[in-house]
Amino acid sequence: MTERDNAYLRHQQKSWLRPDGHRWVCPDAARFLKPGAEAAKAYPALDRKYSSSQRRVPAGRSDGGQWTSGNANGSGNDQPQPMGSIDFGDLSGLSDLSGLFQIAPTDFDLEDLTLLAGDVPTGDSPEPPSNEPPEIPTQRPESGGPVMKFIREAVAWTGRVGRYSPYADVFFGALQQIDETNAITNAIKSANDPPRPLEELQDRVGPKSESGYHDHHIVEESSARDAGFSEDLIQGRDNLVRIPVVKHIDITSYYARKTLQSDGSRISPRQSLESVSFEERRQFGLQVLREQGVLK
Amino acid sequence: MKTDFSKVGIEDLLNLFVQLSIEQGEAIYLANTSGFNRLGDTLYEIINEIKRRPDDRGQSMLKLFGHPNTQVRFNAATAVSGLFTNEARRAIQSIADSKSDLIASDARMYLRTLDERKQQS
Repeated sequence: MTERDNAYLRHQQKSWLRPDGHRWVCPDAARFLKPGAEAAKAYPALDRKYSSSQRRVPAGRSDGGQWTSGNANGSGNDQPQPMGSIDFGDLSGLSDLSGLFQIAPTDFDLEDLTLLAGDVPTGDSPEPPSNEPPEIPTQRPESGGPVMKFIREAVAWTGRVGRYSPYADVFFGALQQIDETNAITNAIKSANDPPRPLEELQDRVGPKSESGYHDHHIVEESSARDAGFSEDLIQGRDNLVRIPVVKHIDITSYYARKTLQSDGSRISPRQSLESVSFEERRQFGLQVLREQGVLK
Repeated sequence: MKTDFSKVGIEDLLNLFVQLSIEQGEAIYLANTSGFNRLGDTLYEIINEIKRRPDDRGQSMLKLFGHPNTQVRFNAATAVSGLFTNEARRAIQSIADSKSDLIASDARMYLRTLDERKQQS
């Protein structure tokens, strides 16, 4: 038996021994039961993951699916509306999990995600939103366009079904099989974070990195340095926030995109800020964070 | 290298404008910034050519304000925002209000900058 075959077997065995083994119960397990039977009774692991009696934030919100102790819809003291019975049929795209175990480990770290904002081929069109989760590839998508396309689709889908919903849980469990360092998984998870107060984003910055998040300079680091601002200002607590990776990529991309101006010129926000003060740049940076849904 | 658009008809220029703008929207989706800016170089030439035409002067851009693609509408509106101020502003505002699109935040920032410049002048 080859080393790769051994690794495959170890991987498969390990998945049934781990405490979250319920994730590997096929999400459309109900189709193997006789008509009318309840999947949760036959597969108690699934039942433990979800109960309609648990109070949860409704789908469609950034914290959708998450347990809540209070009113889920935010209107007085009404009882929160449960999400209802799990419709396993909705996850047909995840039914074939067997292919996930054919994945050989790949070298991948968070640095790969920073390449997303770089030069990539543009052959694929954005897909319209759908209720189906994006198909999980059998290998980690290539850096650049392919991985960004997958992340966008997954972010849109988890935004709809709820980041903490059982659906998303199954999806992330499956995705982790091709995403050994969890960089893609955590980028998708963090992208739907709700806007947070500035203090909270600043407090999160620390020497230890956090998967799914990047430290972001409110006033862009390199252009501020080019303009001669001091390192104390640039690297100061006031100028640093920890934000979701996808938002960081979008903001960096926004700063570099050249747009037509009313005077007929064509410049990027980065260029338009070249001659202004540090404080003006900071106010602009804060506004961008608000527009991107990062800052409350 | 610059392309010579001086002998291209208005309709063909508009078609090319639409095609490249759609590709720009895809570039935003894929965070392909350099691709976005490269497409923008050609779009800029097309816009200037349309504005130079004595029988058009950018007027034909107005009909793109109703295009189904958001990036086409945004590019058309910003291209003539100095010529048809009110119409362009309405088009950009409608994109800014849509909220669900990646381009919406660009539109909001664009309007904010526009208003600030107006206050300063």
